[in-house]
Amino acid sequence: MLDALGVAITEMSKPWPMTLMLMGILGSSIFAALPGIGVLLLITIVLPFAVTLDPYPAIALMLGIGAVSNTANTFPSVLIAVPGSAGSQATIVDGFPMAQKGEAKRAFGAAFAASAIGGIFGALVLLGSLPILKPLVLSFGSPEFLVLVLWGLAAVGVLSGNAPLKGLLAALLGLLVSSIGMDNKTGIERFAFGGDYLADGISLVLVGLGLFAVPEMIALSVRRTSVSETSDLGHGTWQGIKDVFENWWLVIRCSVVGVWVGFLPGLGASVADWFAYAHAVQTEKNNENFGKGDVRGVIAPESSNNSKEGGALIPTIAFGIPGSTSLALMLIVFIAVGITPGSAMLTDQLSYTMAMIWVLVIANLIAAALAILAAAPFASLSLMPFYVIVPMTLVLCVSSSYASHLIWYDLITFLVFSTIGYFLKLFDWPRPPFLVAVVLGSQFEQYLWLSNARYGWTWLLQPGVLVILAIVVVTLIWPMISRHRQGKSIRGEKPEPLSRGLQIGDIIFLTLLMVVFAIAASHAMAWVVRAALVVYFIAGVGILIGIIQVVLNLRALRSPETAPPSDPTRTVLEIRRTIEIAAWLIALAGGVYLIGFHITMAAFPFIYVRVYGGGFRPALLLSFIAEIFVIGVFDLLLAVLWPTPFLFELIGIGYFI
Amino acid sequence: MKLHLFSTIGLAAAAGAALTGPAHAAPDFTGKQVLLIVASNEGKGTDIIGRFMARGMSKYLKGNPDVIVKNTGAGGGKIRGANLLAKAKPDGLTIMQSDGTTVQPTTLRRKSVRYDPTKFPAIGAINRGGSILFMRKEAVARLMDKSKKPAIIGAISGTRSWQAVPMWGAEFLGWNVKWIPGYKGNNQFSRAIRQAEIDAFATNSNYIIDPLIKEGVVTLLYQVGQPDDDGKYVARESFKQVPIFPNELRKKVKLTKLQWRAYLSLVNPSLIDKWMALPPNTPKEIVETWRSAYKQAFNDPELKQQLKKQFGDELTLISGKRVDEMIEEVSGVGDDVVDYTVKLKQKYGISAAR
Repeated sequence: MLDALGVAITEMSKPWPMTLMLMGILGSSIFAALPGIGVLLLITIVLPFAVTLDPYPAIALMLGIGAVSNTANTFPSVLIAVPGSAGSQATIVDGFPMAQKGEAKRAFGAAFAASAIGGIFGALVLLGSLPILKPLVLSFGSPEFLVLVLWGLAAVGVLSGNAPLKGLLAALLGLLVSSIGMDNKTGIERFAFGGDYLADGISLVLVGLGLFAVPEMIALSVRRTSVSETSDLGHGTWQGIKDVFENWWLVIRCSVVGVWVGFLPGLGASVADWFAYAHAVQTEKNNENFGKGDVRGVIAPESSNNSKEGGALIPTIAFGIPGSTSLALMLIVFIAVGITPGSAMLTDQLSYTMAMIWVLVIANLIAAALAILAAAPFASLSLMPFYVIVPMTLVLCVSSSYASHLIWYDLITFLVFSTIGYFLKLFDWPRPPFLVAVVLGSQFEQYLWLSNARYGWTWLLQPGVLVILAIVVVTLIWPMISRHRQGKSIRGEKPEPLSRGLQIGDIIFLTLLMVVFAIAASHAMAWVVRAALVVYFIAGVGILIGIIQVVLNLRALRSPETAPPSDPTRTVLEIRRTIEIAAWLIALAGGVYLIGFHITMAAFPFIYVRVYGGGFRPALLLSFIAEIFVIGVFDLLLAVLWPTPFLFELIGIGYFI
Repeated sequence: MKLHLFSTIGLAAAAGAALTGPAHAAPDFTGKQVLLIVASNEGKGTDIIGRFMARGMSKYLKGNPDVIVKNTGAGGGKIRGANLLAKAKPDGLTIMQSDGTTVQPTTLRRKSVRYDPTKFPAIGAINRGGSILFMRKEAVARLMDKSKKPAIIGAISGTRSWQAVPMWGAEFLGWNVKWIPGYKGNNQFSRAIRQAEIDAFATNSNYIIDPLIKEGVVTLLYQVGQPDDDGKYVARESFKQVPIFPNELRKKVKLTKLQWRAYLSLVNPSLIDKWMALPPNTPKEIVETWRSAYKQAFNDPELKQQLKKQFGDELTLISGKRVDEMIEEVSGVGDDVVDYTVKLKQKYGISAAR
């Protein structure tokens, strides 16, 4: 093994592989920071070139890209609550509030240091598990996957904080969303209504953008401030790095979580960060500040989403079973250049495996260093006025929504989830459970079905299942016992009660939700039971819990302590500004539909900035930047097929060739 | 006539013109971009072949156009990709890489289908050799013994052509099998068969078959085979020792015409395998240009070597004209045949959908 490592280091230190690795790291960092674009696109762009390389340079390039695909995606998550990719959604929960408190630099410092350590940890785990790779992968079947997914879903309880019923309802709604699309066990296209749009389910990109980005932009435009509520950003970057070393045990635990998730093909990037975040909330002392800008809420997901890359290589190397689409594409390159996944990777091609581990380590260090250097300039964006941040973020969101699948309906879906996200935030519903359920729902259903179909209920007694269940129970129950002994509430501090008006609005929202559940269940009656069962479960439990929550809300309305009257002046102002920003968003979507992306994306920021007091030159500059972004990324890089705008079609003018 | 308001960078001089020129002149792709719609997810067989072939064809097209790839995903994405092609301009700048699923009779009857595959002029297809059905060694003994627990076959929701082999085996040869549908694809099958969660599945991908054989996990049971010009099924070169299922079936059982046609309706789309096409009404000279480039690309030594590394040595080129004929045959089956296959799938619990 040492010989192979020596060969790998010698080969990877040559100028050509080093250059390619650096280019991969740089490219990955740029693409990862662009929400909705992502590193997958970069991989597809370099693929034709990569297949012509020799093995070591190919490893340098592809893993230089892949190893750090979750480092720079922190920038938009922290600054504008837009997830840079699926792997950085959990970072928003505490990262954005940190930016609001003027601690963006600290958040970046902590994120990048945690990413580097997590990535190196993942590489070391891969190295350590080489002798037992195959039995390790083979020890996880559908029942074991199921229990792990259950563990993730159990995190819903943790992520619900002080609103367990609402958290559960949000999760049930997320489960319902996850049921949309083809049901693999029956072939029935659930809730597709005869069309092909919904037959593949709902894109996570749209859910993430709608659930987090838009509600935060609405809140920003109502407040009319910059993201940071203080003008002093301090010297937080080094504080953030120190935070990581002070919380080293959290980093290790979350890196372990990331490696496990990466190691299980199919769970993927969108899950690792939530698992780690939930674990942190559950196990850390003094957890009442999670969700309000606790640096540990950034450290946890960022450690795990980089460590998972090392984990993901395990089944890829052992069996040629890639754990993600990115790895599937990398596998094409590896096979093309003569790297054969399987036993050879542990014997006569061991030096290639060592080269992969080496790149994982070095790339994480370099990417973190580069990102830390960029932290200060990026953090200063949190001081920009709202009329700069809001239009540019909305332009990005709308463009990303369309570009992911080139379908008009995605814009409507994005608006739908934006509306859901807005009301969830308004009525103090926890949003992470919704997202976790969307991500894990279909896997839960799949592995539950496969486990029962194959083993009956005896899967519950399998050794692997029992071991994992024991670990899950300990990690969930022990912190509760510990907190109880300390006399602390399990759920932490009580939140501020909703005002009377919002309580009534919440009741209406709950009622609508129950109606949705009922309609879904009635629609599902047309399917076979196997396909409909999950919907019946969601509707039955959802309506029951919904009724309980309504009753609690009605009781709260009886007392001004639990439902204080709202300040009418403030309420009217907030409502007016909310309607304004909603109108802007609809105008933006409507504009792209009527007159096309290029005109709308240039006009929107210009008009928005001018209306809210920005000068002519800043307005023009933002308009120019938006247009360059659309042309540069979506036209030249993605070669998006823009649809002919409605008015152009009406007049009979072609739009693009 | 439409006036064109905008043009992207690189297309300004062409002012929106498609590939035109005097009749019979080879279309000129100089300064053009070609959109390749890939009706699958990234990294899958369809995607790999599409990307490699598109890159190869660009070398042999006048002007060497850039190719931009758009994946529409698996499942419903395959239908979406074909729907997109049906609406694309027939100017030679949009092509689609798909597979046999898109022309399966059961697929064509889905409500979301808005295309007629017989209207797509095919550029060509690459056949990777028929699927091989393999089974865990210890499960083979249970295959013909209904007193023992059934051998378990993994399934996606009934869209794979090779499912016809165990279905007809169960229905007509008394195979002792049980299906567990709900898996998402070959990666999950590969894991599950190693863990004995399932006992069998089939694929034509050598990079999946070879490791399983080397690890000593499986026995090769049957192959789907490929019909020769006389209609007799022949074996894949590297699997000559594996019995050919349709030949075995016909030796042992006399199938009715309906039962045989139903079998073929499931299996024949896999003979087309990975096919590439242009939008409907594409002018003949553009179609011929693409077909010629496809053939040249396939025979390009460097590209051939790359494809062999991914898929093995048994790649066969099917001409565009022949693909057109095969699609006509495959998609023209009657409702009685489709009903029969749907009922059989429902009987064995493979799929509940029509």
